[in-house]
Amino acid sequence: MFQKILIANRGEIAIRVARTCRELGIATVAVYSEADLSSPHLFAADEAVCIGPAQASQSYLNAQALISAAQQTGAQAIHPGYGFLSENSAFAQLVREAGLTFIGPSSESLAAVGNKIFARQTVTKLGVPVVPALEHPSRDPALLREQVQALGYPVLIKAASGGGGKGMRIVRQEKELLEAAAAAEREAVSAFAEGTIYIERYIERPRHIEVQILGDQHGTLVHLGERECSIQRRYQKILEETPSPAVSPQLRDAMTTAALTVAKAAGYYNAGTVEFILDDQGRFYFLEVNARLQVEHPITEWITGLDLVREQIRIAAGERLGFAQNDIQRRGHAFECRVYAEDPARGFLPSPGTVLAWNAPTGPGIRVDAGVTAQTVVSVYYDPLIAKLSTWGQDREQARRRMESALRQCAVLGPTTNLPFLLDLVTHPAFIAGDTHTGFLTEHLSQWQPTSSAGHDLEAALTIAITHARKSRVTTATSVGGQPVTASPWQQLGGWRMGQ
Amino acid sequence: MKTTLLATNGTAVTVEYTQRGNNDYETQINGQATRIQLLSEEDGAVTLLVNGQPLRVHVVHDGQRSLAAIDGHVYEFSRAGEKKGTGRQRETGRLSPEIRSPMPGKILAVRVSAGDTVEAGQVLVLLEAMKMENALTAEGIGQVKKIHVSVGDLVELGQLLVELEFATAHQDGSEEVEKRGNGEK
Repeated sequence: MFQKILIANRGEIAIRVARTCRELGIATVAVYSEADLSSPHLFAADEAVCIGPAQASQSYLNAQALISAAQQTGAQAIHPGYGFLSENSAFAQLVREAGLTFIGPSSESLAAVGNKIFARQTVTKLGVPVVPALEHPSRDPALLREQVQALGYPVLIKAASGGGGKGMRIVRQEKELLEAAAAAEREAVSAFAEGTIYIERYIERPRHIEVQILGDQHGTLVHLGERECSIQRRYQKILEETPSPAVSPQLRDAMTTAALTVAKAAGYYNAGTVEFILDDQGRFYFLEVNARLQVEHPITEWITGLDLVREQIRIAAGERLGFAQNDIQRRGHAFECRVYAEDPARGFLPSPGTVLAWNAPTGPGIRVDAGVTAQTVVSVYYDPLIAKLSTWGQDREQARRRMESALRQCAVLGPTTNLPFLLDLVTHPAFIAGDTHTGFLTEHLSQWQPTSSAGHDLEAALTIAITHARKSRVTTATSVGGQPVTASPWQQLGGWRMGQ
Repeated sequence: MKTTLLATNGTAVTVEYTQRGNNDYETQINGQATRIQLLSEEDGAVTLLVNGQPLRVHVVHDGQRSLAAIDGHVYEFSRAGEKKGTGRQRETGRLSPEIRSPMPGKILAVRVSAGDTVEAGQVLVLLEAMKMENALTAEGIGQVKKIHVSVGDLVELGQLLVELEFATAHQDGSEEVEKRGNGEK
């Protein structure tokens, strides 16, 4: 087993990995950019190394800086988290060449499943269905138009490397095609340093279902059931659940078998996810393999009782899984909500800034994976995900009510967050009914504006007035009676300084 | 004690209360006499009894603005006279002729030129920030008066990007409300 692991990531996932390491008695090294001096992932680890300036390309994506940091601190392995370099086979290879262990699949498997075009060809040969697509979109505008015409609108454009919804676009009409392709290419370059795009037929009202797999280096490969991640906006997941309300035991058998077939063919080990889309006829199509820990892994941990990071570390160290498919029991239902620093009332515009106050929800079946605390700066340089709330219940409704309670308790003051949006989502009748698909938010919550129960706005205003007056009375007692004499009504209020 | 706060949507909220004891206040909420007792006051949070009902409020004062979170919602108020354009809720009424950067970022494209006529919702500028492309759009029908940035510029929060001139009210006298918003679509 490793004595020390470097965590090549930031925010909540770096903290989550550090927690398991601590449980296993493994020392941890955090890395940070110059923009992350206030990030709580620094004090979750035993050591911290600055790896460069704020831009991800010069810090969290800087393979050499990460490997040097590992060597300099004597770490034997690197956990990449998700995003950044987690699915970069060249990085995995460099880590191995430096004599370190990459906590993830082999660089060969990564390369095989990481490129969507290769992955697609491989799974087609295995008899796993795929969505019709253009594998080699032409760079010539006229040719591209012809190709897409032949494929049939609507189409989906995405980056050939990477996931997370970066660079994805739906195109419904030919006139939108070229601009969307160019934008997807630019986003792909800035997120993954690689601009190849990929175009496929878009399936209307699909559900996004993924199967969690786990394999060791000795040939044992198991699945941990599915997760439904249909609640997305612009291909960014915001809420996930397991099990899926749409997956019957028979369908689960078929999908998990397909997932294991794909993983086996890729010689896959470590934790991974095989993503599918499920149409409204119950047909599923292979989407891609995410060769890493997923953001939404906590819900699988809730229902299986396994710690996926622990399993990842054990597998990377060469240990055997030690359990078989039949040993895995799935129990109850779990949800995850992603709390983003963004404003859902203004087109989900990111809302960076300093977190002035933070309150984490608590209670039975509530788990919080937060990357911020009071005084953390949510910077403009990285993903605006600030926390993940997950809940478990004996059934879907109990888990959902616990999520509602968690969202009501959670408070982030400073950056605007999507918390009220999430609350309206989990209490929406269609969501309660489990009638979810990837267009759910567009269909039900596209004109969303914050609402609140009557009275709370006045209670908030009163609390502000009273607490500010109390604060001012202490700090500016000498100004009592010093009313400014100007015509501005704002300065005539006086109440702020008078105390009482 | 009477205090007027400015909500981020531009409406002024006036609250009035009387202090009865050190931690005891009396006020009206929706026309009802309401007693507010302050049970505890910590950094960032208070516990109140509102007519005997416990209420936990997370509250901070940050310069001219104050924020309070109750039951999953955040209420933000400005205690200063000038209103800011960063409101959480939309303003009904006047359109903003000044397109300012909602966050620090890089200008990816400028889609209009000075003198162009623009429609509500038309993309003016593409801004890359937090790894996403954000389209900044016109809020109503108008004309581009001046462009203050060019492709590749790094801009700060609140920096003036484009100035527009809006035509006066619509023929039927209605105001453009629905189309408002400068978020990506």
